[in-house]
Amino acid sequence: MMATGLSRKQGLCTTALASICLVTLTGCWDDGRDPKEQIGANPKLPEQQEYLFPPMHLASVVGWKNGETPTVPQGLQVKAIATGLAHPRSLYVLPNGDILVVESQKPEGEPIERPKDIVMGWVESLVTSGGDERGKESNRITLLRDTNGDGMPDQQSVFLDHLNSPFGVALVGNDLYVANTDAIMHYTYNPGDTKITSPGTLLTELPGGPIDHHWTKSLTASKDGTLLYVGVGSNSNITENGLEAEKNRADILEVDRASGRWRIFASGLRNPNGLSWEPQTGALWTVVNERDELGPDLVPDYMTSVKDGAFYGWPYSYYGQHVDPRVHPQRPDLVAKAIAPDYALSSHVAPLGMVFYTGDNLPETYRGGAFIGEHGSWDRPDLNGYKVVFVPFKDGKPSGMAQDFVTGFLNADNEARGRPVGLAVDKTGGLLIADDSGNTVWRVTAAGK
Amino acid sequence: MTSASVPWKIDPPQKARRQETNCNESPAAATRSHFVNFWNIRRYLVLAYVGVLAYVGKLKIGSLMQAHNRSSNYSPAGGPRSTVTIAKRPIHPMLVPFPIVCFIGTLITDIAYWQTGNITWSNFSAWLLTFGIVLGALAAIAGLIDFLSNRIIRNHKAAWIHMIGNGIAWILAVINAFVHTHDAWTSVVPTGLILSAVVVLILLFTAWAGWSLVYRHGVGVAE
Repeated sequence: MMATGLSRKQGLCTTALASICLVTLTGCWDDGRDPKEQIGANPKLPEQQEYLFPPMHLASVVGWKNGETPTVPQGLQVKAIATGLAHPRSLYVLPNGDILVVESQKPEGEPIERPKDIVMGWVESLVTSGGDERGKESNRITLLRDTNGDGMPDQQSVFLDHLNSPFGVALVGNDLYVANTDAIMHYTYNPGDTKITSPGTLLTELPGGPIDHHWTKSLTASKDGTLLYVGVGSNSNITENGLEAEKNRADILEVDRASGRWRIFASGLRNPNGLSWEPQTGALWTVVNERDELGPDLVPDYMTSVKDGAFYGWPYSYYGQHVDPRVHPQRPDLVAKAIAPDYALSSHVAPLGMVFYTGDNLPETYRGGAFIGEHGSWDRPDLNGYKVVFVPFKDGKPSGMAQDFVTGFLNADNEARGRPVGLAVDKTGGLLIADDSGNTVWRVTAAGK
Repeated sequence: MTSASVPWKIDPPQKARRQETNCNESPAAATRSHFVNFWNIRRYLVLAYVGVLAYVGKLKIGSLMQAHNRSSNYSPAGGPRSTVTIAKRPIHPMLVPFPIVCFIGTLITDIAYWQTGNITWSNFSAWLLTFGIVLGALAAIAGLIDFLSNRIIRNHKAAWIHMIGNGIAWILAVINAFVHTHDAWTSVVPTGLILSAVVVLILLFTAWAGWSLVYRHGVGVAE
C-alpha cells in the first residue's frame, strides 16, 4: 500500500499530515449557498468564517474567440462595437453621441507588506495572464463615433492620453472632468472634438498612492452641474494597512465644481462605484464592493441610495450592526449609527458599474430599472457574478428579484472570455458594456434596431 | 517551459521574454516579472542548500548504509558522530538558532501588536514566521539526517524529545503563519498570539533537550 522504504509508522505520519493540511486548507471550505438567497432588501447573512487561507478561485482569462459573443435575453442582440482595447473599464456618452471608453490599469507600486501579498499577487498573475492587454498603451480615453447613424461606431481615435489610472468621467456644459486615481482633472471640451491635447488643470486632489488599494474613482455631476460626486474606495480589505491609511477613504466625496473644495458626503462605503441618479426620485445611487475573507457568503455586495451624511458601516460593521471582529479598536458609537443598504446583490459579485435605463430601445420592462456590471468573484469556491444583471425599479425603489441580463462571460469550463465593468446607455438607447478582460465594448439593443 | 524542468539553467528565449516584460510599462506585466524573479531566487536558494549538503558536507549515501557500523558512529573524541558537517562542524547546530530566534521574535511582535494595535508589528510577525518556517525546515533536514544515520543518537531519549517537539512546534508555526494571513486584528488576537506563545514554550523544552545532546552526550563533538 505504502511506497517501499517507508515504514508503516512513517506512512501513517505522512497520511495524517497530508489530511491535516487538506482539512485545514481546503476541506472545510464551504462552497457557498445559492446566491439568490442574498439578493434583495433582506439578504440571509450566515455566521462569519475565517479560513486558514481564503478560498481563492478566479476564472482564468481566455478571451473571446472569433464570432463568440455574450448571451442576451430573447428578442435582444449583442454586438462588439470596439475590440482590441487596452483594459476598458468605464464608459461615458457625450451629448453628440460620441462614446468615451476609459482604458485604465491599476496603478503601480502597491507595497508588499506581508508574505501574503506575494502569494496572492502570484495567484492573480496566473489567472490574469491570458489577457492580450500586455504591451498596449492604456491609461487613456478612446473616442468612438458613429458617422452614418446605424448605431455602430465606425471611427475610433485617442481622445485623451497619458492619464493616471482614470475611471470616472463627467461633462458639465463644456467642462469635462476626468477622475484619475489621485485627482479630478478639468479639460475644456468643444462639441465635436475627437482629441484633447491640453494637459488639463487640477480641480482637486483625491486620496491616491502609494498604497491605493481600491483605485477606481467613480464620478458623476449633480443635475444642476454645481457639484461633483466622486467615489473613493478603501485602502485595504479590512484595515490591514492600518486605520491611518483610510483617511477620507471608503467615502463618497462631494466636490464644489467652482472651487474644488470638497466634503465627505457619505461614509462607510467600502468601494463605491457606478454613481448614478435614480431617474424618478433624483436620488444618488451607488454599487458597493463589500469586504472579503469572512466566508463565501459574506459580505454581500450591494446597491444603495446614498443619504447625505450617512454612515454605511465599513470597516466596523456591515448591514447595520453586524460587527466585524477584525477591526481594532472597535467603535460601538459608529456601529450604532450604521445604516443598512437598500438592496443586496449577493456575495463577492464585485459590482463596478451601474446605469439606470432611460432609453427606449430596449423593451418596456427595462425602463426605469438599473443595469449592474458584476466583474466577478475571487473569494468564493463557486464563481459568482461575471455578468450584467437587471434590477427592476418601482417608485424609485428596487422591486423584485435581480435578473441575469447579459451572461456568457464565462465559458462551459468556467474560464473567463471577458469580465463586465462599466456601463452606459448610448444616444439611441443601446446598453454599452465595458469588458476589461475581453478588451471589448459590447452594445445590447432590441433585435433589428 | 524547459527551464522549469532544468532549474540550474535559464534557456535564452525565456530570459529574452522576461526582459521584454521589464521594458513594458504595463503595471500588470511588471508585477508578473517580479514574481517570476521571486520564484527563481527561491529555486537557486534551495539548489545551493542541497549543494552544501551534498558536496561540502560530505554527505554520502554510503554513510547512511553504514549507520549500523558501530565504529563509524563515534568521533575520535568519543561523542556520537554527526553525518551532515562542514569541515567536521555539524550543520544542524549552525542552523537551529535561526528558527528559534524567528519564533521568539514572532511572539514579541505579536505581543507588541496586541498592546499597540499598530499594524506594522503584525507584518513583522508574518515575515518572522515565514523565515522561521523556511530556515526551520532546513535545520530539520540536517538534524533528521544526523538522527536517522546514527543509531547512537537515536538511542538518546533527549534526541526523540528534541525531534518530535520541534516537529510539533514547526507544524504549529505553519498553522500560525496561515492564521497570520488573516487581515488586521484577528491575524494575531487571540489565536495567532496563543500559537506563537505555545511554539516558544515547546522550544524551551526541545532546545533544552538539544543542549543535553551536545553538552552532556557530546553529539557532534569531534575533538
